[in-house]
Amino acid sequence: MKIEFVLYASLTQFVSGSVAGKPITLEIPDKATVNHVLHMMAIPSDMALILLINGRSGTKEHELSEGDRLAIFPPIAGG
Amino acid sequence: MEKILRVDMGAEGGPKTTLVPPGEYAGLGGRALTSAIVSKEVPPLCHALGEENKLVIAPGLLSGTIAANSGRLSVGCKSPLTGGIKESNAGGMASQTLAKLGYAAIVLEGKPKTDNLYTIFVNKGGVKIESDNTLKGLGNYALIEKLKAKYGDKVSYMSIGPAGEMKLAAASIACTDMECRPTRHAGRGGTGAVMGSKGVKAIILDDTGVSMRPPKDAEKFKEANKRWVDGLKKHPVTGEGLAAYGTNVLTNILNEAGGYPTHNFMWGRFEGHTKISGETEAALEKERGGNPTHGCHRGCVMRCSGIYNDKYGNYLTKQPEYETVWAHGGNCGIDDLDTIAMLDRLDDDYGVDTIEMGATIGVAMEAGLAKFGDGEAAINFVKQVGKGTNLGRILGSGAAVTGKVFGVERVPVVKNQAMPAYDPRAVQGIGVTYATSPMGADHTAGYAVGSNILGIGGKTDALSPEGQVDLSRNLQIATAAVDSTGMCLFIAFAVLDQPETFQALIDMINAFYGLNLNGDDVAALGKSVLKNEREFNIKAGFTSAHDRLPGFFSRDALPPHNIKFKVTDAELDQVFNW
Repeated sequence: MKIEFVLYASLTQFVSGSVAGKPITLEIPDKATVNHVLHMMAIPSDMALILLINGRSGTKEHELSEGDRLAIFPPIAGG
Repeated sequence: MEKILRVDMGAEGGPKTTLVPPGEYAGLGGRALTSAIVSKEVPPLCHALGEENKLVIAPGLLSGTIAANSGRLSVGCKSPLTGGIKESNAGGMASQTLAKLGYAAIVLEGKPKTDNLYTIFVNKGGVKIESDNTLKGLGNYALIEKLKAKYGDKVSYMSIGPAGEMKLAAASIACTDMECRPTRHAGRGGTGAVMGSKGVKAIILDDTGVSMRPPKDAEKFKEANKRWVDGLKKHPVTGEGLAAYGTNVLTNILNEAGGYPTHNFMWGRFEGHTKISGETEAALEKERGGNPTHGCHRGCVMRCSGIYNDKYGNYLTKQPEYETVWAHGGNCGIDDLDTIAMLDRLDDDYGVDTIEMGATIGVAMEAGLAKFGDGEAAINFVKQVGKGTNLGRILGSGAAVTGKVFGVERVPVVKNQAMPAYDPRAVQGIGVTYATSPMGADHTAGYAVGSNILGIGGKTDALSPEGQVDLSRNLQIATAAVDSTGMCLFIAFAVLDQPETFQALIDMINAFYGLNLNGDDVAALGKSVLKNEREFNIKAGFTSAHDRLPGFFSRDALPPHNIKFKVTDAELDQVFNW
């Protein structure tokens, strides 16, 4: 299945050629989890990542569906 | 900090100073002190620009020490914007300098009998007040340049621009930063108008020949500060994230989460978000020879501020913060960083709150005064505020007044103060803080965004009303305590996640003052501050009806999640029930 995948801030360093906020389409196995995608994209899964799936907060165990948008941020804050 | 300087601006024959011991206010600092003085000494029903109001300027309990990030200043009064009590918090150098000089607070009282404008100079030798009408009408940048010729650039300045002189409700008080530029503002609630009503254009604080404040137990204090710095550096946000991108790193995440108020709170996402994001801003600053990693005051280890140069590489303004970029950016449909930076520069120069000003322009655009996305029109609006045209004075009075004058229903305010950069429908916890804070809509009063969106200090569902009242209550209590220490609120990111860093903060206070406080005492301090503030507001005429969001948040669903604010009125009334 296909999902939309987008990285922000310092995470772009892990995926060659990626640009913060510019989504790419990923082909992943059916029932793949966020963890699976992190592994596939060589993003360190031990970081306290902020995960948003279709704009909603998610976990690394979340099972993705066709057409989902997975956005990943490093630990950040402001205000 | 063994003394309070009281300045009666209305005294016969000109301003009169009195130096008094802290007395019943001993042991208080920052917001605890400003809110104690205002709640005890200012009649809640007085006019905010009248002689009975007082402007209280107080460094925090740890300001003027070697404690990292202890340089935040509290400015308190009855707010001309909200009509309630106000504590507006600023960075810059003033807090450290004032504390080193030994002042727990400066209190401006009374009302001048003439139109003269005054400067107040404070150094180790005492206080000197002078009338100087050549300063009238100057913007903060020109003012500081002029004052530097007399006092130099090794002192700290607090000042108002034309907006403060005109006593506009969005007027701020500028504090100079480490480069002696007027970039850090006590922005919220119209404190600049109150300073203007006292006839004070600038306060100059000179700590030449004065040492850091000595702790009671120097060894313990030094050791606790080391743990404190280690804790701040260890946390990924306070140690790395803030320094790399500044606060504007939030643009993309709030947009992704569907909580980025766009076109005056019409939508939760902005098409042009990547053009104005923290990542883009930091890269542009580097490219132009600016600096995205910079502390707003001496002793800051998080360094979330920065320097923004124009396209020719010349200094334009400090790095516009997330709230500023949002207010003038997505909220007004503007996706050009140079336009936003110019608006920030103008806001700082005229001396107006960037959040209130951006929200007001959004309301003006909603009213049809300009189209969303028209950056030139936005710049013209702010210039009109600086000039004091009739329209400018309306806009400079804030979003609520502008909405009334131009017949706009969708006006995002609580207690007449404009909401910052998080839509309460998609970040329900911050909606509880907006609704119930004694300050009016204020994200810093209880930053539920941390738990709702960023996974800091626990995790709550941003789109659900569940648990939001408890979250906001606890954060409001903790924040009131932090605001009393002089610590930057961003320390909370590390303190909430790392118990040992919270302990280091308590140990620093104990070692400095020879106390034996624990976490419960810190919570008790926060509650006492909120109690003072709530009681003032109740006597000023506030009821539970004022602890509500505007009706459209419960009526109109916000895309993309198509969600409404779902925390009930009955739940909101439980926030201060502890």
